Amino acid sequence: MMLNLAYYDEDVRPSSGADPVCLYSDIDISSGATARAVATERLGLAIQRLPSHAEAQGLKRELSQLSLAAARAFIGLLPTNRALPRVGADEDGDVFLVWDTPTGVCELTLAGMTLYMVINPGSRSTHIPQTTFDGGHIPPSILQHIPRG
Amino acid sequence: MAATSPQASSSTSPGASGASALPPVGDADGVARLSFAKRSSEDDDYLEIPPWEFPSNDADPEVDRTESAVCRNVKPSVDEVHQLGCQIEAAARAANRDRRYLGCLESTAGTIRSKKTTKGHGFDVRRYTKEGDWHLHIKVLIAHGMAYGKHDKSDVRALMREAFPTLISHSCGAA
Repeated sequence: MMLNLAYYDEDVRPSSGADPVCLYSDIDISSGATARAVATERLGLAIQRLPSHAEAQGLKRELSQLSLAAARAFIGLLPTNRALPRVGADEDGDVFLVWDTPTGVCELTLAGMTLYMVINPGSRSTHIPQTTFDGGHIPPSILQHIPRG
Repeated sequence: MAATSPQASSSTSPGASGASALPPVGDADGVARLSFAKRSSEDDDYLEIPPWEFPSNDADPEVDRTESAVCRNVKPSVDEVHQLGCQIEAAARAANRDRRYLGCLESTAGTIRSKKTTKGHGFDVRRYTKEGDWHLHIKVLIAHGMAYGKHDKSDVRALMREAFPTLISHSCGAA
C-alpha cells in the first residue's frame, strides 16, 4: 500500500500524536481487508440514503450535496486502522460522523468542506478548531483523534 | 456546571402558547420524546438516530431552537405516548412519507434542565400546547455572550442522548 504523505501541508508536531508515520504505521493490510471493504461500502450506502432517512426523522432542510460528497470522500480516505463511524444529518443540512467507543466519543461535522470535530461532546468536550478538508487527505489534526479500530 | 448562566433558566418555566390553564413544568415531571426513522431498516447499523437538532427559527422566537416532547403528566401511560407516535406515523403514511415510529425516550424536566454544554448553553422545558395539552418544547438556552456553532450542536446532541438514554421501543404491527 502506498501512502502519499508528502502532501500534508499542516504543521504537524510529533509530540501531539499527529505524526503522519504514527497515524498510519499500525495498519495491518493482511487481515480483514474484505470485511473492511464490505463495511465501508455499507457505510457509503448509508450516506447515500441519508437524505431519505433525514426526511423520515423530520429534518426540514434538504441535505447539502457538498456535505454528502465530502462525507463519502472522507470515509473513502479513512485508513483501515481507524474505526468506521455512524452517520447522521444535522438541522443545517450537513452530515456528521460519530465514533462511539468504550474509551470515548468523537463527533465530526462536515459542513461542506469545513470540518468541526468535538471530542467527548457534552459538558466537558474538547472543540478542535475548524479546518478545511481538501478531499484528498484527512488533516492530521483530525485524524489523530479518530479512534483506532 | 459552566460558569456562564444561560438565559432565563428556571425550574418552573411559564407556559408558552395557550398554556395558562396548565401548571408550569416542574423538575420532577416526566418528559417523553418520540423517535422516528425510515421504514426500511437497511444500513441502520451505520445511521445515527434520532438526531436532536433544535432547528433555528428567526421568524418565531418561541419555537427557535426547540424540539417537541410529550408531557407525561398529561399522558401518564406509555401506551398513550406510543399512541401519539403511531398517529404521527399514520399521518405521515397518509401523506406518502416514509416514516416509522420506533418508540419513545424518557427523561424528566429536571434532568434536561441540569445539562450544560461545554460553553454553558443550557436547556429549558416549556409547555407549547398548540398540538394539545401534552405538547412540550425543549429549548436550547444560549449562554450570554457565547456563540452557538457546529461544535455546540455536537455538545447539545450528546447531552440529549445522556438525558434520554433508553428507547422504549414500540411495534403495533401497523407496518
